[in-house]
Amino acid sequence: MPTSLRRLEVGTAVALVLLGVLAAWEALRMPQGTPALPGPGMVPLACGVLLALLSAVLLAARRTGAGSDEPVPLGNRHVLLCFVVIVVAGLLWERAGFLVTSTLFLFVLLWSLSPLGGWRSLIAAVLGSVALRLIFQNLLNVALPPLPFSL
Amino acid sequence: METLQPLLNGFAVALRSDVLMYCVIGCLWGTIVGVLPGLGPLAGLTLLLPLTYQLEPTAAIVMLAGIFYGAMYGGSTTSILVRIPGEAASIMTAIDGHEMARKGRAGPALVVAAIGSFIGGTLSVVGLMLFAPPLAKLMLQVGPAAEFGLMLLALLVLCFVSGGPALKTLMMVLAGLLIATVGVDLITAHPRFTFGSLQFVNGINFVALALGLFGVSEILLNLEDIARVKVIKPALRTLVPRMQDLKDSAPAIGRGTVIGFIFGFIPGISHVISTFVSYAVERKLSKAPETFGTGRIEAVAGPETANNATTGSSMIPLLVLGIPAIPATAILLSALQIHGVQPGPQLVSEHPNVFWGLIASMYIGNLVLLVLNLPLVGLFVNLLRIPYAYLAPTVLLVSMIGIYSVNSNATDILIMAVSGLVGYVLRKGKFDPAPLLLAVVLGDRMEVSLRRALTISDGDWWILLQGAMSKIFLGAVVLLVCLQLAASYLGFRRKDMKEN
Repeated sequence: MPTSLRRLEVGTAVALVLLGVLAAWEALRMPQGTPALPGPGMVPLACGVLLALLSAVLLAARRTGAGSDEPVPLGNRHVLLCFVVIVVAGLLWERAGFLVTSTLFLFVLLWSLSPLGGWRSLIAAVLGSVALRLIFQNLLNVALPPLPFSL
Repeated sequence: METLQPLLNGFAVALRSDVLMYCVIGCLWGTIVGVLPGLGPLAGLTLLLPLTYQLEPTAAIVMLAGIFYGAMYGGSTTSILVRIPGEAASIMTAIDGHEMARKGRAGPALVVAAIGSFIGGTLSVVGLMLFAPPLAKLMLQVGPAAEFGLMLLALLVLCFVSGGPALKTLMMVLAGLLIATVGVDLITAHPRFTFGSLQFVNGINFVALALGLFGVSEILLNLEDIARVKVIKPALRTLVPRMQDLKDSAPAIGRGTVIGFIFGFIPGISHVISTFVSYAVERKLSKAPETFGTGRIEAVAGPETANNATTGSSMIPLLVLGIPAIPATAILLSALQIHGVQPGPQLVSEHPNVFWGLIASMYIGNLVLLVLNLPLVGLFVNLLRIPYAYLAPTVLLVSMIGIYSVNSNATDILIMAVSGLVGYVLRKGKFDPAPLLLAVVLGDRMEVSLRRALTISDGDWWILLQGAMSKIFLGAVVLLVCLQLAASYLGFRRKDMKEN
């Protein structure tokens, strides 16, 4: 997706203004304490307000024309797929167990990124998952989530 | 003599068979991640961090430190042979190093880079050994007010010396400080930004955040173009440099060591800046500056030495002050804390085995890297032939296993994914995520020291200016801000004059 550096900066600044305002709003609901005994809300409030202000300064600067219009390619189908696959793997990790999740994860990425094709990607994914499970769980004693139904 | 006895004890620890083995593993793994584009010291450290939990603290820290300086060594191989810097600090080496390789002189470039790295790395450890203990003694007298001033100074220096504009860096620092406040307040135990969920009671997992912001985002950036790289493979017999090569590179190695050691203290991207400065100095001092970029050996020797000389000095703020100067040392800080070792002025006296064992292992590690790297260069080059389409899924899966094993919590994988996407967008928008990460590390201590100082002074903010150390640190903060404002003002004036 082609965009420009200025647009990207504006988008990031808007997100950070929102983050700062939300953080300050939430911090106001925390105990602020006294000058002699500052409460837990003091630092988040200050950081939230400052973040929102500085982001607004950047936003204003970019809206008034400062900054570069250099084109920036933002993401492609590989980047998007990779992100989605990590999120799905994170959601399945404890529900489907390591072997199933990692096989699916490797299969989807190998199939889409490499020239291996469907069957060879599947075989590589199964072998890769089993090998990683053996290395990490059996050799290095890392506890990985088991298959569902205690299989 | 005061240093010699503890150093000998450190060698006794570092030469234990188990510690030595982990040192070699760390150096090898570090070289591999340094060689592979898309994996730097940070990803290398975070990938192996969970596997060190079962080790005793000294062995774990020795291995992780080995990864850190091993990656600095490894970066030069990719830069010289492929012109792809394995990590940012090898960018300058790629310019003349690859030109040398194209002219059939890859061997001398690799050897001089290795010798420079060894000398720079070893001499910076000597500096670490000499400066750290007296500085630790001095820092023991620092109270919460001065501690706050010191950390404020570290973050401000980071804002002004990091690559991007100060405004963007400051925004990243503030976002990092906000992230650091997530979880239970360390003084009152009041939950902050947890939204009733138990997942965030202990804050956001730092390792997941670091791996996402740097490791995953780097992989996402590389996935935009996964074309195969063209590798120049040097024959073993061409490795021997000529006498003239060694003569030409000796002064550059000396200057690179000094530049790297000094720049290692500066928070942010010290290891990257030092290589740029070293390249510029060599070019300035050269009798034929116009030939730089066509394969000059000084342009390889200087930056590579400077790059490795920062590793020793960047350990000083980490070990003595508990302040990580660069993201990789932030992971080391996290590792030390996980193993129950709190870096800071008391580290030398409370954990002498860890401190002196680490220093001794750095001497040994530098030697191991020199001995192993040159004969194994063919093997490391072959790693570059692994297509990224196979490497990326494997690295991501290993990262997920590593992250999960920290807390056995799958939410950390989601945090890694989201911070990976955030890191990707930030880097596309030319926001540097390093200050954010360092602010997350320093945030807790900074807040606690400020609130403690205010409690001690009964709410009097002038406490921040009482005491010699506080005055020095806050004076430096004010000076830095004034210099930055003056520079911006002069910049505007120059622009106005040009336009008129």
